[in-house]
Amino acid sequence: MPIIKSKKITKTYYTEEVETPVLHGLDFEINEGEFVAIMGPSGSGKSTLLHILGFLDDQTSGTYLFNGKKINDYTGAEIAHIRNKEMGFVFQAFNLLPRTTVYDNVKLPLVYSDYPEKQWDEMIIEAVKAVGLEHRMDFETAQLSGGEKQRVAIARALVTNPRVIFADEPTGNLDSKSGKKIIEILQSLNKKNKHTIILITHESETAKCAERIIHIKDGLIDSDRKVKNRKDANHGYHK
Amino acid sequence: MKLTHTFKTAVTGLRTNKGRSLLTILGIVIGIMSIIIVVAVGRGTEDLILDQIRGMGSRTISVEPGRMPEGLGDAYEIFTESLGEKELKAIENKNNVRGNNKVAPFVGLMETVSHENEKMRTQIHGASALWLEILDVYPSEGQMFEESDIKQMSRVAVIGYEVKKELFGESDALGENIRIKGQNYKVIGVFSKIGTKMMMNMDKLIIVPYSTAQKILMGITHYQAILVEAETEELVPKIVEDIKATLREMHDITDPDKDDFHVGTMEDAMQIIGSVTSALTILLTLVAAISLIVGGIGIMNIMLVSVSERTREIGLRKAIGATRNDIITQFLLESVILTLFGGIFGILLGAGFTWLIGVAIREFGGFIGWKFYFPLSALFLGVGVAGAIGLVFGIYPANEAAKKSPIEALRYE
Repeated sequence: MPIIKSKKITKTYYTEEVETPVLHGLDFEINEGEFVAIMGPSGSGKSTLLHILGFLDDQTSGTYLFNGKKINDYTGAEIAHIRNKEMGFVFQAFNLLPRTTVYDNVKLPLVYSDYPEKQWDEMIIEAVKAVGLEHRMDFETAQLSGGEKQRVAIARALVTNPRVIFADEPTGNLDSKSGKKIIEILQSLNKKNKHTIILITHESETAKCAERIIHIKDGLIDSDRKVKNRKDANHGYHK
Repeated sequence: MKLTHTFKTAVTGLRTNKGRSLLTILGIVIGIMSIIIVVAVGRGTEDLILDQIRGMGSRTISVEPGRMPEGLGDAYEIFTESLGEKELKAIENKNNVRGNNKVAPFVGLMETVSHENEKMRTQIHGASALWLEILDVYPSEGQMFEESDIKQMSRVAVIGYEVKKELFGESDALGENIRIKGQNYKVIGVFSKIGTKMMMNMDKLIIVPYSTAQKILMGITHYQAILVEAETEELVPKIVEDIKATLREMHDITDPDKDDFHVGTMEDAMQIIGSVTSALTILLTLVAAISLIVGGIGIMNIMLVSVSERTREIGLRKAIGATRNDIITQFLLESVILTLFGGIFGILLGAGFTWLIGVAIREFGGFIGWKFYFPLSALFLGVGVAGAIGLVFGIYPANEAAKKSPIEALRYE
């Protein structure tokens, strides 16, 4: 059973009297354990799609099934619970809490979870280790480089061990070296821990690190294909 | 989310903006402080006044000219001349008023008195020895003047502790002369420090025979009050009725509404004072309550600013699993913690000021009997009101926070 199933999803923004259609009916499925890149030029609707898939926004029409259940069938509390336990988010702008340590930033999702508090410490350390920042545990986020900040964001997305990680242009604010490291971490999470990764990007080099690329253009799927010569982030970015 | 974590989150949120948090609670601090002061000082004052009245003795009845004043603007009635020698004699007559133990007339004026180069303006009371007996005060040096001094309109005086200090310093006052309105009065008695009795500062008082005060100092023939002491407490209501009947008959009054005098007992006075002070306390508390509401609006304002500043944080929290309730609880707790702190500060400051006011009243006001009164109810009231304000004025900002859609919040710059 696919973990994500989109049936004719459309999205239209309404402002006063102006209608702005963004998505025109998308049909696709994503299976558990896949690493999918969603590509497209800016304004193509790829971020909007990610927000709908991540329960952050509602579609205008069509059906979105997460884990076989329509989004409309979930209650507000269930949606919060799914965001917490089944999904992890990595944003282009990191969105870390300012004046807060790496440890406490990573802890944040656990605070809203039903994991017993005794396990938190172990889970946080494991997540921070997975992104290789255990030596920065007590640093405040302002003391970190951009790449390190994004790794903290990944650790935060990871800490509740979610099934799907959504990454919205995670390398957009980073230099190529840091960006490569981020993709490398995402790849290893996908391979080792079987996390489903949905990556939004407009860089084709980054997209080629995924198994499958969905191209979106003007709110429609332009192409949906497997990556033939999949890049390993390690090699692909070496100069 | 567990409440302990919400609590920690709220405290962290407040600590990141310490300066602003402190400024925000200022309104609440001042509001709660004022309420505490008003309630505590109000109760202290009421106790003090009631103590003074009780000090008059429960057997004391006061007859005053004019009908009962019906408000502060009605005081002119006091200046009628309806109580004179004739009325005094009638009240003294045991055939008219049975059970009247002591009857003492009284007049008073403000005048400048001097001794050599020392001068002071103070209260002069024209009274009799009986008057002092009703008050239960006696000169510590020398003696009180006698009935004969009253008959002869002698120019003799018994002076209070402060008056003696002011005019004579450390030197002896007994047998010396003080000058009042250009005439010499011989000091025959001095009081030790007494403080306030029956709302009069005894230490700043000069007492002369009432006849002397009336005729020589004031040029009048009437009295400003006649004090009557009943033989027993049980006789008080009957004596009041007897006095009223006697005076009405003398003055041909048939309609009690047209009385040209009024008779007061300690009980009446206590009731009046009690209702006046509680009315004042309510009024002042209302004023303080308004300042609390203003403080609450301040809290709401700052919380709204805080919510809009932290839009991204709210979006993030929602994106990683915070429910609507989690966000509402977090921001409500922030405002409640703020106002509770404000309340606690306000209570401490209020208690401190009340204590200082008490010291000032005792030291400078001469009211030795003033007690520091800090009602436990005010403490609970302060904390309760502060918390309630945080809750009430926090609901709107907290709801605004929870309403934010995570995606709009995350997009917010």
